[in-house]
Amino acid sequence: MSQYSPFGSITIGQYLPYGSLVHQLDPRAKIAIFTMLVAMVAFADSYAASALLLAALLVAVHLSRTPLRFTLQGLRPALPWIAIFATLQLLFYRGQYGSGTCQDLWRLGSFAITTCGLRQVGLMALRLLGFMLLTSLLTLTTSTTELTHGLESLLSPLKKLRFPAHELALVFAIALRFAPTLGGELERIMKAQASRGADFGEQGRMRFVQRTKNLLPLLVPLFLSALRRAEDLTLAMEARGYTGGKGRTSFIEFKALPRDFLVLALVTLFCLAIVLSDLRAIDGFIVDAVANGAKGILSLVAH
Amino acid sequence: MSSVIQVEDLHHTYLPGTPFEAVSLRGVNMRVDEGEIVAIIGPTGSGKSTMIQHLNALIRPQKGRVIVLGRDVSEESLDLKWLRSRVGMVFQSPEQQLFEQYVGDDIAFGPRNLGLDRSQVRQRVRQAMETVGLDFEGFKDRLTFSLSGGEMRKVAIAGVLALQPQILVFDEPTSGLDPETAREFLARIREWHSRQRLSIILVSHDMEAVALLADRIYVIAEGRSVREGTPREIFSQCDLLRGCGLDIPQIAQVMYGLRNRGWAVRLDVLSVFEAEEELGRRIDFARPLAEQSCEPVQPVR
Amino acid sequence: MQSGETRTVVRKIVVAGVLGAIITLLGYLGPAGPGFIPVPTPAQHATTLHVPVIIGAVLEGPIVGLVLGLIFGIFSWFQAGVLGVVMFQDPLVAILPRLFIGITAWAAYAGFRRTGKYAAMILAGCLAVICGAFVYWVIPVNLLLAAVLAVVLLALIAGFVLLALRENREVQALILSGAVGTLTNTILVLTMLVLRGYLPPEAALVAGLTNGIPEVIVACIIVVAVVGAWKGIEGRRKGSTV
Repeated sequence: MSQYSPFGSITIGQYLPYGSLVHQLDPRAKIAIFTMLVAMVAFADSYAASALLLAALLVAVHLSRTPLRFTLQGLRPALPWIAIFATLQLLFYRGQYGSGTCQDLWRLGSFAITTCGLRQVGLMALRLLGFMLLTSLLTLTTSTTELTHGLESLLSPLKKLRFPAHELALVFAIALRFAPTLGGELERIMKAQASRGADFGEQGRMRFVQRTKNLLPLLVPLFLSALRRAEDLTLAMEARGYTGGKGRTSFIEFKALPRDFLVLALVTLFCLAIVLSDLRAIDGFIVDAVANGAKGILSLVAH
Repeated sequence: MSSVIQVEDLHHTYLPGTPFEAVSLRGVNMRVDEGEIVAIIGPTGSGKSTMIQHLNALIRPQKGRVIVLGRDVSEESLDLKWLRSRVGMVFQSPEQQLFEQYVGDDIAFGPRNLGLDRSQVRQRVRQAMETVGLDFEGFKDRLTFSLSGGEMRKVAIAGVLALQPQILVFDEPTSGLDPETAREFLARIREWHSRQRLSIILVSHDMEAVALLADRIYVIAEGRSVREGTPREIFSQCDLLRGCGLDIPQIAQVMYGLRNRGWAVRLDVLSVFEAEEELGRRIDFARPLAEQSCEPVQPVR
Repeated sequence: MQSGETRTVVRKIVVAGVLGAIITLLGYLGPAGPGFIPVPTPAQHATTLHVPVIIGAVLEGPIVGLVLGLIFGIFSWFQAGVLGVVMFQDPLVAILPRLFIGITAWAAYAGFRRTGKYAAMILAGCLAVICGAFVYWVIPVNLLLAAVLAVVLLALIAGFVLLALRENREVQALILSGAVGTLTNTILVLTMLVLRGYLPPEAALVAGLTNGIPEVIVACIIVVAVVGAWKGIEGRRKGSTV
């Protein structure tokens, strides 16, 4: 394949328009739900909670009609990283975890794998899986236009508190709009410099300082081109009478349907249920069950 | 006369096998002989840029052959630096590729990439700057981005000339230039051509430029070479060109207009000077125009 | 009509937008592209994605820096799934630390340009004290690590002092902002990784040292080249090397 693939045809995000229930939800509802679930996943502190959240997410993935294979494929690059970090944490973790003592499962000098470490790693893995599912769910079912407008719409009440919601959304919109253009520009610059004998993609054992300097013929013109466009765009916006976000209306408007409110309410209830119930009690059962199962298997193997 | 470039049945598809697949070249043929100036014209999207990027191996042929200075561009073992020092490519708006703080350094980029030593680099930069009309001592230590647009373009071109290529390829050389600067630039190209026996390839929408410089023209449309010939041959085929979405030089349009009103004037006129001569031959400006006969000629579209 | 005021706001929005586009572009192209530079360390790549954040902060101020940090963070967050770097799927790791890159970079740039040599020296002294305390805290964890850390921090502060003593504040300010911005990124991200339990402190320190230093150097080179070209700043050399 050619070394200089046409960057001009970049598609940001992986929006797959399957038109499912999830796709059709009002983007503002989706963003609100997303934010709630992110907070839940981030602060879940028990296996039970994480497992419930994961289950809910898997249901959502199914509802979005995204092929399971696709989702699983997406998880594959993550596995080596999880393995590395899990190993590091298992070996080095010295902290306490909740109440109760940490029992050593294995010891070698100052390195030890404790039950606390195991628990920590287990939670970490569940949490990370949760994040992965959540973010891919959002990007797969919502186009970037919907996201930007939805975000702006949601944040607009904050304008009363002088929060620059409109300006922020505009920044995102400009970034998304110019990314492919600058990509094409980068390709042109690469070709021009290569035509002068420059060396980019070749694998070399060069020191990274030299490597960086070799990138300057690419990066400097790219940045300068972007900044020049910024100047032009500033002038153009002013010339068209842009005076800030006060009182601007949008071409795209969202209409919230009852179904959006329903879904929102359901998810909120779900989250509240998790938060209010103390699921750590169940955790005890789960850990015991798993530990006993593991011991059983180990003893079988040992004989 | 030996050929320096040969393009045989070149095909190219962008992003094959993806939903974004796009065929850009469907069998292009071209030949450039040593010392020629060849122009490539064609509507936007006809594949001109794709084709010339094969000439210095920015793109490798997917199907078909491209032979430059006797070497096949598809060769795995081809020394790309050598090729790119023999085929100099000046892209559209080349001033956008400048990156060095100081003019001298940017022009020296090419020669340094070739691995030349300090004094050789200096000499090349000096020669290149003189060729484009920039005083060596006066400009080499100037801040690159403090120059005017025109000066920056000269710096960029000098950067390519410093490689001392045998073949020069220009993609839209007069884009963004006012007519007078464009004419000046074209005159310089003509000068470099005669002084150094370069082979030059011009891709352009500027028909006046093409009429002025080209020895031969290739018309490319929809990824195929549609016509080939001298400027006079090509520009007298107005309907063909219009059919491709191209136009002819303005002076030729004047002659066409006159012909359609019954004046038996030549159509293959390439410059205002020639038009003057031709009109002088056909029309006696001493007598009233109405008295002069219109020979019945076929109207030309 | 407040056209002057509007213009500044519009320009900030637009600059944030285009630099944000560069961040997205560099990140999207991945390890093969100019967003990453291979380094001979365990992490294998130094990223350049934080450089547009620093440049934006230096050119247009801390708010633009904040917004660009946000864009960097969000992009890093969503791309983490694709790259597989799972720990960056946690928004507290991907986004929160990045918000500060632009602010610290701008502070370093603006502050250095305005301070005299003596103020800079005093600042260096305070930094030395803070770093000394940090090293002291690391000693019980691992002696070797503490020693290496001490050496590195000493070198950094010495470098800072040398910068302060030279002429030509503009370039020095750029170098400083590049270093500070990058260090903010490295230190805060690693801190979050440890606090959230993804990485043990020892590994974080090692990663910080091995990856952080190359990233600082990379950032400084690029920031000076780009801002120098855009603003027409003369470097130490007055003229080409031809």
